[in-house]
Amino acid sequence: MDAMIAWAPLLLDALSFVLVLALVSLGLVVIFGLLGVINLAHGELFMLGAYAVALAVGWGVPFWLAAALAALAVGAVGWLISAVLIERLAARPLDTILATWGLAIALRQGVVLAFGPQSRNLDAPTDADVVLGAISYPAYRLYLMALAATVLIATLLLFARTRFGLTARAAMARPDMAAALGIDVRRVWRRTFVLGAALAGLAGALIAPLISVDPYMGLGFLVPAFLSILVGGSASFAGVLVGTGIVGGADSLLGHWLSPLAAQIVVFVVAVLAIRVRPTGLVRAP
Amino acid sequence: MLTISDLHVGYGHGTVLQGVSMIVPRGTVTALMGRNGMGKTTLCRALMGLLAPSAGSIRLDELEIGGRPPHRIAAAGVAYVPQGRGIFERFTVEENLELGVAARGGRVPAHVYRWFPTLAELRRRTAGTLSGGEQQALAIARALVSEPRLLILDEPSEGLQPSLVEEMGSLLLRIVADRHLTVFLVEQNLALVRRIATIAAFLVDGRIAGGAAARDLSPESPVIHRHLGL
Repeated sequence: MDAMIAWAPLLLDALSFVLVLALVSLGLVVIFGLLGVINLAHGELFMLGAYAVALAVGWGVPFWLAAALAALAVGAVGWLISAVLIERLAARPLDTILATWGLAIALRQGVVLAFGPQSRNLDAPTDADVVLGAISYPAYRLYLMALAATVLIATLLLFARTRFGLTARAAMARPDMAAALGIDVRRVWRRTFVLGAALAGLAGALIAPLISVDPYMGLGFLVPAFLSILVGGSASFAGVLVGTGIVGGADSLLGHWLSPLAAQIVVFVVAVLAIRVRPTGLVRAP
Repeated sequence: MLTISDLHVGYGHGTVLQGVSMIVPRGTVTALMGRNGMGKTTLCRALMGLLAPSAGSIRLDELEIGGRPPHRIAAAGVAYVPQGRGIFERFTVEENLELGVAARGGRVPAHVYRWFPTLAELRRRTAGTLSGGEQQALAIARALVSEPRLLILDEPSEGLQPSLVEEMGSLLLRIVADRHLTVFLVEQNLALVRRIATIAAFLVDGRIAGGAAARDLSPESPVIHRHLGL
């Protein structure tokens, strides 16, 4: 029982990290799956979400509304990136890697110029604790988990059950055939990119009260998101969730006993082994 | 209905189509025959907007569609059954059909299931598990759900046994009559062309090398010898 009480907060911390990371990974994987674009600026979209929520809260906007606005604002940035950069480089994977890498640097330095290199902290909308049986746990983290899980499920349903999802999956599988059936593939790409960006922005906004917000925070989430996709496989959403659970869970739990650096090294080694054993990911295509 | 004039299309270097001109009259099945590598599929892809012509024009009635994006050409009333069928193998039969109406909204029209009753029974099956004949039926049905004016069929008989080809021919004739559909049929199967087409044109080295009334063609016809080498 005592062991349970000691473990429960750690597991809940790990779960909240996993859920936020899953939002980042999911955005990354829909963009990769549909456009074939490895978006190296995805971490910066996440960072922009954190800055957007911090700014809006500073202007007096209530936190939850600010988080929604941050997701929308980052979605709008995604629209612009897609229209100006990504669609012009479609079907040139190496060029999109370079372009999004350059964009990541520009966004980071842009934020440094606008807000300075220092980190800032944002207060959670509530600092209440909720008593769960024998432990008490921060209410904000519970809200965050519920919201992140809801958004994840909604995104999965969007792709699995709606007509937009059907056209997006068709454009992913056979873009030429989808176009011949009357689907405006370019518009589907753009909407998907906006969706992926908004997910990253929302993740950044939700995590902002829990970590320090600085211009370089994106990398700390981009790297585990990529590892998650590599470990779980990019062919299905199940793969993304499994990969994120393993990578994010291990990262978060090991961080309690080891230094964060040592935890990351362990996660890297585990990820490399997993990829060595199952190069296409732990979860195979359906 | 469809007027192709002096169409040139190429991939990178070299032109595959070197000045194709032909007319597909409304309400008919017009066949295009020719050996492999003559540019038949290239022509289909250009008609659908999947390849941009380097010169020439493609008109659908009065509308110039040459070089337009495929979704606009589809919206103008053109549907396409590519060689190899272009089925979404991992999707269900129903999802494949729904994709045919996804762009303009609405549901799969009931008459499509009447034409293809087996597809109604197979609705929930994954399309990749269907037989070749069922997949071809699905590809044609998917093209028809959008109620097109012009249907482009690229080698629909490929890989089907003769009895299935005959069945498909009868069904196509019925649908053409029912819906006042115009069909551009790329085919090497002489029996199918004779059965459903009015006119057959021959594509040789990227140009039209002549035409004939489809019913006059036989395996012994000199044009068939020359252009198909049967």
